[in-house]
Amino acid sequence: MKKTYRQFPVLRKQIIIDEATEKKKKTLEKQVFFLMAAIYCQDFHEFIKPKTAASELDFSQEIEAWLRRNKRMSNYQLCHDCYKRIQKSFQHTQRCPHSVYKTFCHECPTMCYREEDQKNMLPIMHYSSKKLIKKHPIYAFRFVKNLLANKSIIKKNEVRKMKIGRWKAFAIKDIVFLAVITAVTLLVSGPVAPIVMTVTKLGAQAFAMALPFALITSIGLRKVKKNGSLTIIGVFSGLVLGLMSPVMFFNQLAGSVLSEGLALILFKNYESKKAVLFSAGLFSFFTIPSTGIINTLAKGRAISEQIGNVFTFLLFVSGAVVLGLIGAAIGNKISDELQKAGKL
Amino acid sequence: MYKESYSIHPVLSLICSLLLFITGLLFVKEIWFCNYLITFLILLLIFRFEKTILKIIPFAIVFGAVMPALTLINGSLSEALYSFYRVLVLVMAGILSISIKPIHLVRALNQLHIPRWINLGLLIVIRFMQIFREEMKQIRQAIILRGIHFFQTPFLWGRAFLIPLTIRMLSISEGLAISLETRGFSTDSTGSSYETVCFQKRDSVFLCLFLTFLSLYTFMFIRGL
Repeated sequence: MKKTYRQFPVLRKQIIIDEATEKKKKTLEKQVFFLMAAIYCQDFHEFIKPKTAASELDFSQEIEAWLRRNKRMSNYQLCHDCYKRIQKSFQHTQRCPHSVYKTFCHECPTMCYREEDQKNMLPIMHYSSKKLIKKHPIYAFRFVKNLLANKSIIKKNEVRKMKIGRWKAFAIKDIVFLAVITAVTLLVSGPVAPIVMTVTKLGAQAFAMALPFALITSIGLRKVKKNGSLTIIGVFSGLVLGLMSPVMFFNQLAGSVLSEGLALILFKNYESKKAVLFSAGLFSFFTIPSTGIINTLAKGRAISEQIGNVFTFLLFVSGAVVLGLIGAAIGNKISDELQKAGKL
Repeated sequence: MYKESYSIHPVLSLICSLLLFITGLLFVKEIWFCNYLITFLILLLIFRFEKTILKIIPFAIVFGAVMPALTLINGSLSEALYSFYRVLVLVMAGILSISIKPIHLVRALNQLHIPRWINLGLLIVIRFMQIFREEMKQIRQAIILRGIHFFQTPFLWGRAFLIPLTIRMLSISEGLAISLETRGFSTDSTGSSYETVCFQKRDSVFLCLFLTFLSLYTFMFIRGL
């Protein structure tokens, strides 16, 4: 059975690649492969003739310069096949887009070696890797050092990706969809919004708006599963409602921030349906505290005065929670159906 | 660059609306509250807000009647009157903010370097409310044509209303997003505007008068006159 390896990620677009570093890494890779192939040829192709000294063979400029500097390397004798393999490997290395962060070629996600080439190269790697430590420990050390540095780049990027995964940037299509969702939410809650806008009883506004807001926003959150989506809906609806009653802006903003904040503390993101249910369902409920505070500050009315009859207040609060959760559940159900149909 | 004419600077309108709303709610129980309302109504009439006032009158009549009536169920006559006054405050504040053209507001916010996604989103919400009102009307008509009635089969009515509405939301938003992207709109880029919304002399005069009257009534409120 063919052994499968854990592939390294393609990071070319994610990291800044310095040309000089890339060139340096490519040269080291070529040097190491040259040494491995030379060791292999020396031990396995002992009787194959003719053999040519490395210094007399054609290589790229940097390798030729390296061979001229190191007499020991230039004295290696290579058979024709091994020379061809080295040349092929150098071509692949030169064209490799992953040199700055790669681990091993067999772990590459975009394998460029053909199957038969791989079969030719793998024995060289297997045999010479241990021999390299004995014969050229400095190059072996440099190779390991480079490997560890590359692994560290991969690890750093994975951590960054995880962080970004939690707070993904909003694309224009997300903003447009959330704005459209807000427009529909306001339209659906339109008939009740002006009536409750001037109601002085605390909780009445949240109770009236709970069902339409939870229903539509839950669909929005199922489509745009990015953290901050509910706050964006809150900002948009607040800005529009704020044109009618400025207090509503703070109400919507506070409600969305509190609801989303708590949902993200509990569920971390909107991947689970429960998070959507919680966040959208309790959106209206969380506007109650801000309504109370704003009424106290702007109208100078004490909280007890705003609450009035405790039974009515409790009815409004529990109604806002229940209606909100029902609305969010309906929204989730519709989203499920649309998801099955491949529309969401 | 092209300078367009408008009633009052959009941001100034918004700020004044907010101030009018907050102070109005604070002054509701004062004896001179009617004077307060009349003063600002005259100010708005001077600055040619009569069309908006006429538009908002039906709303004021309906909610001005409904709200005190609802308050009368539990409260006294004076509470109903205060409720009526609150509706009037809402209407007064609304005159200023409703008169703002969405595109002027967005341009003014753009000039203030407010993030583009907020401006864009606000514009979409305001513009698309009308479009979706029509969409919802069409969906309701289609439901009636199929013989589904809310009071007979509420669940079926809900499904028949919400699913096509969501599909329309998705298709409209996708089309809009694609057209925005092809026009170079993005959340991370800063845009430029061909037309600018400037603060004019008219705005300065309005601001001076507005602040003078507001300071006068605030002084009267603090002194308990």
